Amino acid sequence: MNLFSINDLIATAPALVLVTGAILILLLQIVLPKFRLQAAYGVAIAVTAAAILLLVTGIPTSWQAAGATVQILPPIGTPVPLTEAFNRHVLFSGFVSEFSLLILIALLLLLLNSRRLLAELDLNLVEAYLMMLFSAAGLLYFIAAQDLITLFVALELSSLPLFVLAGWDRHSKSSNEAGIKYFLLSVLATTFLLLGIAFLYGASEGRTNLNELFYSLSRQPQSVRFAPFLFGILGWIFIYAAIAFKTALVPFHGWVADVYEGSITFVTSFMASLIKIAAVAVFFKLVMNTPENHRAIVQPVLMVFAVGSMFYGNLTALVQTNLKRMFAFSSIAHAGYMATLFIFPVGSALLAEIQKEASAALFFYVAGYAATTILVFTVIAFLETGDGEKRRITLEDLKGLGKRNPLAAFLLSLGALSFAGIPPLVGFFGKLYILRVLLGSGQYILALFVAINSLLAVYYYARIVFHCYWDYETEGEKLTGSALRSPAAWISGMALAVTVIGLGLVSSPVLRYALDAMVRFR
Amino acid sequence: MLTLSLLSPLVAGLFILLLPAKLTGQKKPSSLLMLVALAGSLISLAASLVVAAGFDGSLDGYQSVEVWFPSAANRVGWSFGVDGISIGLYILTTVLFPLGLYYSYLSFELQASEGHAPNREKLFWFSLLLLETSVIGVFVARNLIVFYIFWELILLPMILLIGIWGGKEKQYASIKFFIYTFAGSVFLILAMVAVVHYNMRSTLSFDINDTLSVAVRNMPLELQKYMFWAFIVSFLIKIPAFPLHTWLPHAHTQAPTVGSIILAGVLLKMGTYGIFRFSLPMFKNISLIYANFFIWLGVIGIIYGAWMAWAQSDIKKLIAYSSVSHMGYILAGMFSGTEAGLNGAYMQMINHGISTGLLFLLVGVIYDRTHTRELADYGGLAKLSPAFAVVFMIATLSSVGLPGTNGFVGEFLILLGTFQKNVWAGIFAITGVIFGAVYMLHLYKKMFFGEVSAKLKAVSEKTSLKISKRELAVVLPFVVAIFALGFKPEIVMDPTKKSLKQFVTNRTSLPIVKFEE
Repeated sequence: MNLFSINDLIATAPALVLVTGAILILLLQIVLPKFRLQAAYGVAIAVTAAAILLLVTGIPTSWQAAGATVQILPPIGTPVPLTEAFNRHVLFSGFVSEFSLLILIALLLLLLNSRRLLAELDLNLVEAYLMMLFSAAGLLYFIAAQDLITLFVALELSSLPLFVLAGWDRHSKSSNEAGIKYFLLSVLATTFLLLGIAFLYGASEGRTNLNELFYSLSRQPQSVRFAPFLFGILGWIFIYAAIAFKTALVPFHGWVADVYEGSITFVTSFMASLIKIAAVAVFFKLVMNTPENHRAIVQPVLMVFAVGSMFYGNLTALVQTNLKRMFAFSSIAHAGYMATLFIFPVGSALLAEIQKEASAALFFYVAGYAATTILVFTVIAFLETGDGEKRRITLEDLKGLGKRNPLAAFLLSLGALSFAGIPPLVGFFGKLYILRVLLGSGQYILALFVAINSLLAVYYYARIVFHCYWDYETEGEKLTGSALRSPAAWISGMALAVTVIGLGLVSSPVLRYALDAMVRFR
Repeated sequence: MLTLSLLSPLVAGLFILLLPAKLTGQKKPSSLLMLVALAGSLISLAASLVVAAGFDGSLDGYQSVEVWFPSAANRVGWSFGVDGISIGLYILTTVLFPLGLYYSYLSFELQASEGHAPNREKLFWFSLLLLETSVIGVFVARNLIVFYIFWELILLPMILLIGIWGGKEKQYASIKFFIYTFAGSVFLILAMVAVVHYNMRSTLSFDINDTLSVAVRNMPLELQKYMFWAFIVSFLIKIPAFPLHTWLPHAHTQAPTVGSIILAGVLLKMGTYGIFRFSLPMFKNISLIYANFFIWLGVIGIIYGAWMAWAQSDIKKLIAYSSVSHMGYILAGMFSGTEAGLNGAYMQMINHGISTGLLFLLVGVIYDRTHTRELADYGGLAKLSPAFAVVFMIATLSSVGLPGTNGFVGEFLILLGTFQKNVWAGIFAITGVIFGAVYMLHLYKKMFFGEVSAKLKAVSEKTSLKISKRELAVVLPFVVAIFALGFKPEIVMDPTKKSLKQFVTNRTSLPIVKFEE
């Protein structure tokens, strides 16, 4: 058993590129002290683009495994055998590369906005790019992790930079509060994760590899009197809880509103998009690796997560007046919609089919959700910084925005309508595919809950649109905001708007593509 | 041609948004914007007439089918077509919109002459044109998801039209309209997906065709019932049928005139169209089980709407409640399952669009001058504006259902059909005819006869209450249609007869003589 080979490095090339970029930024600070900001910005964008390119084209190197040639980093979308690396601590499947691609694209779009937004707040420091690159690299490992220990390490790699980013605005009390709050509660979640790993380790006679765990645990008799089985159940619940914290699911949502509101908006959009993508992907992977006998017992917990999040998020968002808090609660609700895809009927003959459809639906939903989230938070960020100082935006501030800043009003309304699930925007198709999976697998009650919640949610989303376009002549505190002034931000804003509209129109090819890619999970 | 008529309003609308801003914001409405909007709408009308000319009523199924992106059509297929059920409503839509558009321009002009500069013209024309595209889309969609997309898209221009250019309580009315309709459609999409994906392995697509009915028939009866209700609730809201009608009076009174015309003319028909398109063919057994329930719901709507209309002091509200009453006839006729009832219901759908559309238009014409909708403020209008009185009389008579006007044919057939299915419901429905005459003639008497009211006197000293020639030109097509369909209802009924036959469940209620073999 060799420690690692060049193959392992090639297989994780996209993540490594990001890490290299981060280190390069550190070095450039010394070499080019005058241009370090421009250099950091340039390097960050370049390495993210390079990572996307690597992921899409792959690296044409092959190795022999059990008689068949396996390409180590295959181009995306090709149905290939799974690639393992680092002694099966990391595993690449279609599922993993799809979600990795999503994370990288989201990162690129965020980075395009970053310079302008951070500069407006006078917080444009080199370290911000560093932190983002490290965090994103951590997320790539997080999704790909096949071993619980790697999962833990990757989670830490992605979280630690975020604690710093959450408290980025060090002169602001609320930002400091956000940083500390996120840190303390994350540590608690990490404890849960470790505890869960320990339980599973005990239950499975010393295994941490997800695949081995699955086969070991699935042989257990389904009886809580059998101690290892009970430990297994507890282990899963603890691990789910830890990931639910990252996904922002009820009852582990306590940090969401304050951290989302307190952090500078740019960081909020990072958390609400990238972390959410990775967390739901890992959650799904863990659920897929929970054997049927355990799932039968653990499933009600997932049900609580999903239904609780939907109702709590939407009902609380209804009464919010602060825009960022409203979207924070709505992100809980969206996590709830996605969590319904983690629930499969126990003992169904169609299980494999349902899981495949569910993974594709999850991919589509989270892609749409991430695009819309970045769009909305970018607009909010530009509105906040328009007057030179950071301010909180309430619903009242939006009155007449359609006249004062038509572009911002249009983009914000577009995002709100997509979140609400109004066709033909992407949010509608996301919900449609979730309903498809739920109704196709006979989970009518869950589908009904999703429908009821879309109805609840439409009110507060519609209010945003109403406020932007009605009350044209309202005087009062005038909020105008900067109109996406930098070209990079404009490109990113337009790209997002086109995605939100266009992804809906071409939803079926995208879904088919996602379905084809997700041939195997384990 | 369908694509052309579907997209030309939208393209014109987008073009208007791109035109320079300096065209608007002046004291007078921009005629250029109106011409562009009208062009988009007229192209749509011309294309729809070409489709209608090529329509063969003796054929089953969809005609002049058009599919976009055929390769991607496996899941959400953008395919369009017209059949006997949709052709009439499709033409009604394309005819109503240019008239409404031109009328809005006249209304803007009139307001401008009184010193009220038009408010956000570009957005107004865009909303109207977007509305036209989405309504046409609903009627020509051949795919459940496409249908749903257009069905939901209607909300957007409607909330803008009501919320920006509406009356005093426009925001309340707009939100109420929005929440009500959205509530219905959430369950609609739930049921649509459930029907198509009842079995995960099913290979059904979302295209509207006979296999959908087969899929429904394979479901357990209990589940079918749930699906049926999920479908029909959203249609009942749109119609609106009796207990779910409360959004309508608000939306109608607060909407600008053109909004009311379109709302009464075609948007309400979307509900009944949905029942014809989905509820009746897909849930044959269930709708037979509930037939009497819905007939009674329709009859309650007829009587309740009529009584409420009689009690109103606001003219627009009165006409809004008369819509509830008229839509009740359609509901009763549809579920009678008799040939007469079904054909009458379809006829009444078109009629109501014409007569109520005309009533709202005329109320708008007079409101533009007097700025009041209170019935008490009116009186003796016939002396001040005789031509207007004549046209209003024609609209009233059509709404009441006088023989010779279009209203008579529809109502008579519906009553005939209802009698054949359910005698008691028929008897109660007939009282609705009487009440209908009562409130409409009451309205007419109050508005046009008697002494000239003080308010009107004051107004007539400042401006002329006479209907202008251009307004008369907008009204004329309605009047022609009222008499044309009154004397020759075959124009509407012939193309649809064949398609409606499939819904006939109750051939006759006359005692059938059984011959011993």
